[in-house]
Amino acid sequence: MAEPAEHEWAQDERRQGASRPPLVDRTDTLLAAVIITLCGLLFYVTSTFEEVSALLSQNIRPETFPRIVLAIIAALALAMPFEHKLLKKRFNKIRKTRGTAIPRVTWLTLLLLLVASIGAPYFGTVLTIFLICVALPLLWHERRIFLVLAFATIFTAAVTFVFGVILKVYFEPGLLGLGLF
Amino acid sequence: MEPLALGLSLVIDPFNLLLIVGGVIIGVLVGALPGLSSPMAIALLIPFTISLGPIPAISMMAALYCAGTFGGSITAILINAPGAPPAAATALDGYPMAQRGEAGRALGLATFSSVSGGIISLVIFLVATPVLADIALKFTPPEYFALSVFALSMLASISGRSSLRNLIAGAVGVLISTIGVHLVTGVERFTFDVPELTDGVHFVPVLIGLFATAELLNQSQSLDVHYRRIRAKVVKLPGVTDLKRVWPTILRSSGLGTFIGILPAEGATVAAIMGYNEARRWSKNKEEFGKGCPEGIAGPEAANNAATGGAMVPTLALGIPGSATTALILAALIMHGIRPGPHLMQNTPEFIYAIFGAMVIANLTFLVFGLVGARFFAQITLIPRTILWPAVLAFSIIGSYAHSSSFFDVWVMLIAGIVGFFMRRHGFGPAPLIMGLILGRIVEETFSQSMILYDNNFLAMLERPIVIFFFVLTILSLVGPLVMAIHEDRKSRRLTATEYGE
Repeated sequence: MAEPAEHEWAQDERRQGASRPPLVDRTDTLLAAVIITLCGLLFYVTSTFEEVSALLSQNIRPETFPRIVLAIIAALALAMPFEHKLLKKRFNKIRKTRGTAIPRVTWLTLLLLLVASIGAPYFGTVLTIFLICVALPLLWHERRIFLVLAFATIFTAAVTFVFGVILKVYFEPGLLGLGLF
Repeated sequence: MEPLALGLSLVIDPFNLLLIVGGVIIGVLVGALPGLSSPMAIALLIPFTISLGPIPAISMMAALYCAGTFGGSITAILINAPGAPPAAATALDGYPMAQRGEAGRALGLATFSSVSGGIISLVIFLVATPVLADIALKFTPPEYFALSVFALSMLASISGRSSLRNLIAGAVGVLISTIGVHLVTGVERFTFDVPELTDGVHFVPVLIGLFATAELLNQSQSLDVHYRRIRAKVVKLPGVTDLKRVWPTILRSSGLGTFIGILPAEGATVAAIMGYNEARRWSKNKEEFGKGCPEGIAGPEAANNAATGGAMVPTLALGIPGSATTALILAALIMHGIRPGPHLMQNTPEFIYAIFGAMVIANLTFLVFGLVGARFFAQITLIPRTILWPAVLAFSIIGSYAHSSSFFDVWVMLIAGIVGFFMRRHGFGPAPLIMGLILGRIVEETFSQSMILYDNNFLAMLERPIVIFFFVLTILSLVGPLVMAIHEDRKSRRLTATEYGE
């Protein structure tokens, strides 16, 4: 008799588990805490805005509107930890997306983006584009070196022509002094 | 009739026509490639159009918008991977039809339905824009404030995984719009002593970062995904039997799509889903849906393309974007020194008619491209991602930089891209943030003007009937998704209970 009883208990637990998920979602609680903290910090920043006379401001103080928006964001964020209770199906998709580990290649792509953006003023515009066109395909496991080099050369030349020559955008010369004007 | 004739004559200039055709080609290509989207393409296109006049620039973007919505159907049908979110519903019946060896028929149906939906919505655009602009001329700042708050509240019901997250993203966009000098007092806000932030955050790098850079990071997570492509031998227009079968669906979906497009913030994706659902609901052959039913292709395709014309109505007549893509077009209009709204219709109606003409030409152009070139456009899915996405990244960097020849904008793009990537992982979409960013300035400006008008008494605004009307709509659009979620939850509980025999 003990075995069926245990089985019923397990079934009951499963049923309760299916209908009663935890009250708050842990990741969303953390996320909400971050958002609310940021709102608090920015609310403090609004108190550092320059003071203006009521006559000049026509009673519209520069901090009023941002404070209303910050309060709305914080209020909405308060509801986030409980949202999973209502959106079961759709929330599973969110859970699945954020539950997947970010692959190493994405972190490396992010690093490349950082290096390219921060280094662009030093490398110069043309060289930055060329380096991206070479580095990113290689990072994404493209092993056809000649294809990559051909693409990088043709694409950089085309972009330089369109933006630099036709649209007259100023190109930072950078390390190699590859400015156009 | 004179402004209409003038507008159309402006758009049939050979250079303009060339740009429209160019916009259509880019649109179809971008729409067809999974990962690339119309908003992303328009964000990347804005820097190219800086040196163009407003009519050629906006004509090209409008053409890209129409064609991009259609382009998604090509890959939805041939590889079961919708190139753009509005084509997701098309794949449900388009791909099974293609698998049956009728890819040409499916593409023909999609093309014909898209063009029909687009043209019908443009006729409504032609009629509704002046009417809406005329009504909006009577609006004072409180009405505009209430309308823009309503538009923001609609973010709760746009497609996405969570209404709450859409609203938070929209509010963050509004907050970002407050960066820079306060217009009433001249006080700097959230500039943190960075001189480049005095004028506020530029739209273009944020748009490029959120749509292109974030997607690039997203794509890097799925480098091993490969698509199986079905070959389409000849794309053919629907025959008499198919036409007889789908025309009521096309008409119904076109009306529905246009209406959804006109609603602020609602775009082609919502229209397509509703178009598909309605097609199924009205069909006598419900059991055929999901197995290659012609109505299942015609419904979403007519609706999503009709939404493009519909979304242009509030964008041009009110200055309130009808979708994420029109929010970008609105940003481009502002960059070109044009302030959309009722005065645009009053002072330069030919501009609006030129956009109408450009969209009609774009629809007819992609009818030709859809029939003749769909199978060639499908070939672009063969471009290796390892080549395509570096090109997108290079365009993102140069596009952000070109806007004001400043590397600061490249850093803004980078931050927006990283933030956008992590936002997506947690269910926050980029579109609501963009809507908030664009609408934020209107909301604050009209809020300040209303407060000055009513001597800081917010409740005094509620004496105006139109304000009350928009606030009631706001409440409904906020409460609606909540009620739906509760209803869905109860339904699923009931199902669970039934499953366990209760």
